[in-house]
Amino acid sequence: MAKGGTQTARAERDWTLVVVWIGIAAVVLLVVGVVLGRLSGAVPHLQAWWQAGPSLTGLVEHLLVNWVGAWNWPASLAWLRPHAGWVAPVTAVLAWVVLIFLFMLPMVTYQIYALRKVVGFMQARVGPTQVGPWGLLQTPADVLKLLTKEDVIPRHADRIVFTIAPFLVLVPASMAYLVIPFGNQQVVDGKVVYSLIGGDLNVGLLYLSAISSVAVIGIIAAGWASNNKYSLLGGMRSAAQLITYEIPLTLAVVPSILWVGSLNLNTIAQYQDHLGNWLVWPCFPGLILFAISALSELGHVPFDLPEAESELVSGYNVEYSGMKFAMFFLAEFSNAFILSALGVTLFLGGWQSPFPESVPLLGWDHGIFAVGWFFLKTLSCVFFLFWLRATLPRLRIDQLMSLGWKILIPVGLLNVLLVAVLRVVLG
Amino acid sequence: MSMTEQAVATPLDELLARCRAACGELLGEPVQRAAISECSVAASDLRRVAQWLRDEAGYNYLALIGGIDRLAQLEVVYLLDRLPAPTPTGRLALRVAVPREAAVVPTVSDLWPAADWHERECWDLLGVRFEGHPDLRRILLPEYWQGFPLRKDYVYDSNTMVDEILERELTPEEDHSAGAGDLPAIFTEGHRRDHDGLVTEDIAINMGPQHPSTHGVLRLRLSLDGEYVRNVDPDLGFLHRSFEKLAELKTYVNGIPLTDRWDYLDAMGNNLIHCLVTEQLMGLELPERAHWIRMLVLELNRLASHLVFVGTYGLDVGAATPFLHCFRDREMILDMFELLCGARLTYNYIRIGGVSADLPRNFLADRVESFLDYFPARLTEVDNLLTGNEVFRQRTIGVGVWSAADCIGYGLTGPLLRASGVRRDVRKAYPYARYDQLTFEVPVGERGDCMDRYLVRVAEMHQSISLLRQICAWFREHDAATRGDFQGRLPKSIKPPASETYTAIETPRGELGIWMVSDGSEQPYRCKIRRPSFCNLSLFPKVGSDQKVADLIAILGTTDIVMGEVDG
Repeated sequence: MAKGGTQTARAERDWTLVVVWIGIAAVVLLVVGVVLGRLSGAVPHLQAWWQAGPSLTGLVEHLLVNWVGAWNWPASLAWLRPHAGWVAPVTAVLAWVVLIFLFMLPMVTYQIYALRKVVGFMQARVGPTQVGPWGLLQTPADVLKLLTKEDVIPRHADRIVFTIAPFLVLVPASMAYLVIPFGNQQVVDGKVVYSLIGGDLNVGLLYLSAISSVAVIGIIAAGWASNNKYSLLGGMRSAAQLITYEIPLTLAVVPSILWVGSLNLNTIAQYQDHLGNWLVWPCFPGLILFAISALSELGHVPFDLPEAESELVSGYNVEYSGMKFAMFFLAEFSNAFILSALGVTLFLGGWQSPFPESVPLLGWDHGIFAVGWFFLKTLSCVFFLFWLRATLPRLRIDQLMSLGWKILIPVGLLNVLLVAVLRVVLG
Repeated sequence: MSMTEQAVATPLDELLARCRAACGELLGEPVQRAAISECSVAASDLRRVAQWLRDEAGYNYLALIGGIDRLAQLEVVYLLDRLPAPTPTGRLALRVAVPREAAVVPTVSDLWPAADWHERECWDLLGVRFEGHPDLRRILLPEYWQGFPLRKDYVYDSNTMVDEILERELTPEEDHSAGAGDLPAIFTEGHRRDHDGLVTEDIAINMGPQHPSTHGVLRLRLSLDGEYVRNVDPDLGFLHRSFEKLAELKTYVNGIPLTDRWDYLDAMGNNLIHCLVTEQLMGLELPERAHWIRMLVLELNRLASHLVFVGTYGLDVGAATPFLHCFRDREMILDMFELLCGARLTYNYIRIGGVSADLPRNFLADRVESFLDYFPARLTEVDNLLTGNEVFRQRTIGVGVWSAADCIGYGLTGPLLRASGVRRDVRKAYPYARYDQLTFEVPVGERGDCMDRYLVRVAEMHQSISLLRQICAWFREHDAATRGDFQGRLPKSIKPPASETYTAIETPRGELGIWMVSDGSEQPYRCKIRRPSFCNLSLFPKVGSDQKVADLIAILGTTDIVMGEVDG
């Protein structure tokens, strides 16, 4: 009578194996880096890039233009020369990936730590205390645990789609960092001294809204491929929710674009050079709209229907475990940071200090101070998210839909009209 | 009890006279026991009499259907009552005797929908077939179980029995592992829908027994049309521990620890009902102090239980914070119980004739009164966090509206019934302990929706606080004089005289009662438990269908079931 449970592929791993793999990978990377650097003569170009002002786009530019073009190809690598067109971009992309993950992983890890501490405080608990001082190493330990966990794929799942789905969610989340202005761009005599924005795209906002739409495909794919009814329901809810709230989210940022007249996030941040110029004043309804839609886009309380624990157990990611689960998690928290950063840039002055430049220390917003202001504001928004998480219950799917379509979209349209008129009237 | 035999004799005679006038000589000779009038009726006349009693005599509430194996024949007892206030005759028990070999009784599930599950349980455990019942499946035991455990000739040999069951090939209807095969007919009818040319099929989905919101091991088989639940079929019995059978195998005293496991959030109440019914059979008088200690722990336990409800209901609608705040405060009550009896969940504190230990010195001043000073503000804080929240209001107001008629018909009791506006509390209707000396309100709701069911419980907590204050006041006056006098004198062995009775108390979940049959020995002959969670859940298939999934969870949350009690 008793039927066997679902059999799963067993991956046998242990700690030694992981350490050995990480060691081998590190050595290989080091050797490849040194050899490539020496052989290619990229070092002078890196120095040149540093002297020109260490911007990430600058690095890509340098690698593309100088390295490929002016590379003194050694004889042993001469066969690669015809393919130089892709060697450089690939190297640049790899550099990007490493950089983003060096930023994103610790960022998210400690975001989760902060969440657990903050929510713990609000819930009359203490949060993590055991691993490391004040529990500081708890979340890194969790990440390591997830990395080393058995990777389970349910027997009846669509293996390929099931594996691709987490990447479809994580990649757009990491791509978003490119256009976020973490700080100012120092330009002296038309020459960039340093730049604290990854890619100074003049269509930055468009780029952001475009790539963030890709993630929904990953979520539907995950829900579908798991071959689990709960994940399917979660995936369906997510799709409906994300598509619905894309529209008010976009409508919410249009006023800021209208006011400044640019899609470039750096330009928008630069425009808000003192408190009176912050876009929150002319575009205040936009900020509210943005906050609500962003919460929904994030699947955050009170809009956490896709993963409503009390209804769908965990939603679209219910069958995921180990690293694949961690990727969804990573994307979710990374998105929380990105959308907070976007909100800060669009409405709250970005990296600019609210104090006049004349105030010492507090009024400074260049270089490290700009980064400081940016993180202070962004992390305050992230804290706000945590606060909501500890406070609010969850809306129902029809309430969510009618809020999106019947209230937020008309209000968003009205707001665009209002700001446009205001802009024309005020010149 | 306030009703003496003298006082009810006349209304009962009058009732029987009216019944005879209407239905003919159908009822047998009436028997008047302590609090219950009893009549026997032939199986063939049951429906006529039952219908008359419901429509003309006002017995709108079926408290329980209990089967008793009398060896010569099987007996089915229908316990009737009127809501919100009892009739002059009080509770009325109808007895139907049927032969063991052909135990067939007509169903009354169309008269009182509550009978649906009671009859299924009676069929499951005693093998009484209810003719005309729409869905007479086993309810607590698995479909493939053999025999009827509560019959006196049932032999349970775990070795042969389990082997036999495990080795048998299951029919598709019995095979629960086969997915859709085990779905009752309601799931396969009309499950294809045409949405303007787009034909869709409902999906059958299992919610539970491992699910965060089914409050234990409840399994709900749902058929979903998108976000809408079209059909609900609860599958019970995952936590069935056969308390009624075990009670027959243990002495009255040994039965008390078992009661802790029924409704483990209100174990004090379970202790009490077992002791109360035994004391009533024996005609025991308790020392005054024992009554007051009992009320003290009962009201504290009610607070603790409602705190779990408020917290978990927050979780059900997605708010995690109230849960932890409620558990923090509940911890203080559990600490008090630990001081009293050494246990935090299964107390075994209330004993036949009194309680197991006196209150520790300064218990009231140090623990209870300081808690009463601290707690109301905390309760208000948590309450504001939920009821002051627009999202919570949207999720609960107007959701899951239950009519008073439905609640009464399905035998709902406790806060669920009161939320639909029926002002009925066993503490008022049939006072036990010393509740008749305390003053308290019975809060009722207006709309009968999820919000009302939540609010009624919060209001009850405020009433409990007031009751506790009154109890503390009594102790301030009498503590010194009565100290040490917490246990009545008992005979060496507890052997109630051959008799039977029914008594009920008001637990946080509703009317918890026991129909206890004694044959004069040390063990109960039959112990039929009226489990309020079981009855409260019986309305769920009706109110759960055609709801959204999220509302289903919100509604299930308000029933505040404890699976240990539902599954018996």
